[in-house]
Amino acid sequence: MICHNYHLDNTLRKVKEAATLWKTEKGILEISEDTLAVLIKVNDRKIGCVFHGDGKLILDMIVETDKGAIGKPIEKEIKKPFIMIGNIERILPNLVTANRQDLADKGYMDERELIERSGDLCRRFFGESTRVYGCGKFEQGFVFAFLSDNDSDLDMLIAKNLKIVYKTREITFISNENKIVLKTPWKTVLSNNGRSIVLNE
Amino acid sequence: MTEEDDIREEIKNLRNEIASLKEQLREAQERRKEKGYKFYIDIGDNVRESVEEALESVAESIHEELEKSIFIGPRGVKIIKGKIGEREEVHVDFSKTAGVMNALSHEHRLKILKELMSGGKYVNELQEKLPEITTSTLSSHLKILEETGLVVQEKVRGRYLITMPGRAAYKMAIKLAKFVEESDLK
Repeated sequence: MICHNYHLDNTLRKVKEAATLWKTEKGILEISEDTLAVLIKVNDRKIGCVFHGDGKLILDMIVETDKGAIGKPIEKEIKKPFIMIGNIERILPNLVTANRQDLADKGYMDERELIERSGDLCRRFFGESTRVYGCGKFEQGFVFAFLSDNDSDLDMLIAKNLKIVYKTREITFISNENKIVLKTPWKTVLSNNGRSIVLNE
Repeated sequence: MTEEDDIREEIKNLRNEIASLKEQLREAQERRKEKGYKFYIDIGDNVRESVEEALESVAESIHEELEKSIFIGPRGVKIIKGKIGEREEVHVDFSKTAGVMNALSHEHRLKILKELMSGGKYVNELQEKLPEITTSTLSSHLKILEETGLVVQEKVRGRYLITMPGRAAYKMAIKLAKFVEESDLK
């Protein structure tokens, strides 16, 4: 395990065209054009990004069981800044330099405010220390961190190929192909290739 | 009379009572032997009456529960499975139930549910299975079923899946359909 320091890139960037950040048969995360992007770097290597703009998260939190489907899809409009770690190389060609008007369009007075807001979110994600512990391989999967509706928590989405973990204060959804766990305040469902156990809380 | 005399008198009475009980027991055993039983106690008329009352009350309760638990269908009597006691007070939200019944109240929607019982399907797969339903009608039926919570649509892949309540509702509809077929209902 190696200890690194992360920092935010000061260059102002925005998304040139609407883009799909993540897509599998269970979920999609899209961002609209002109979304502002602040790169997160570790030892000058780009590992992630803080996006400020409009996005949409769709996640089919549905468990198919032999007794019928349980759960429902979520479709969330993202209006608050969120973090993406991993697979950053794919989005880089779609980033262009942003100007003050682009900042103003997203409600920021200046570059400093944007960086500060990004820093606040990173501190909530990484912790107060700027040190990031890890093996340095961020290419294989994604980690997304979204502010919850009341800003009190970070909703996390971790994805690698068909493996998904989505965790909010109330819901936990873990999916690995046909093996799924869904925990809500009302029930817990465990399913393995359609065979399932449903526990009512 | 001193206190000691009182106690002696009481002990004497108790001994007499024990002797009397032993005698009753012996006689009872004799009677049981004659009838082939091993043991018998004469419980007295008062006790017998109260036991009979209790047994009658139990029998009455069983009778009442059985009346609640049997279903007289066209093919005879069926016992409804489950815990009898739990069915005493049933509180249901009839508006929700009516909503589900309404969603089930179309032949096409029942056919859609039947197709989904075998697994999730895309709209085009449902259309292939149900050619008698036009595309727009199929969409409108699916919307009603989805709004009621009997089916759910995956947002990414677009497949329609029957939900747990959907399966229960479909099975209920099948039972009702069989009942209707076997009875004189029109």
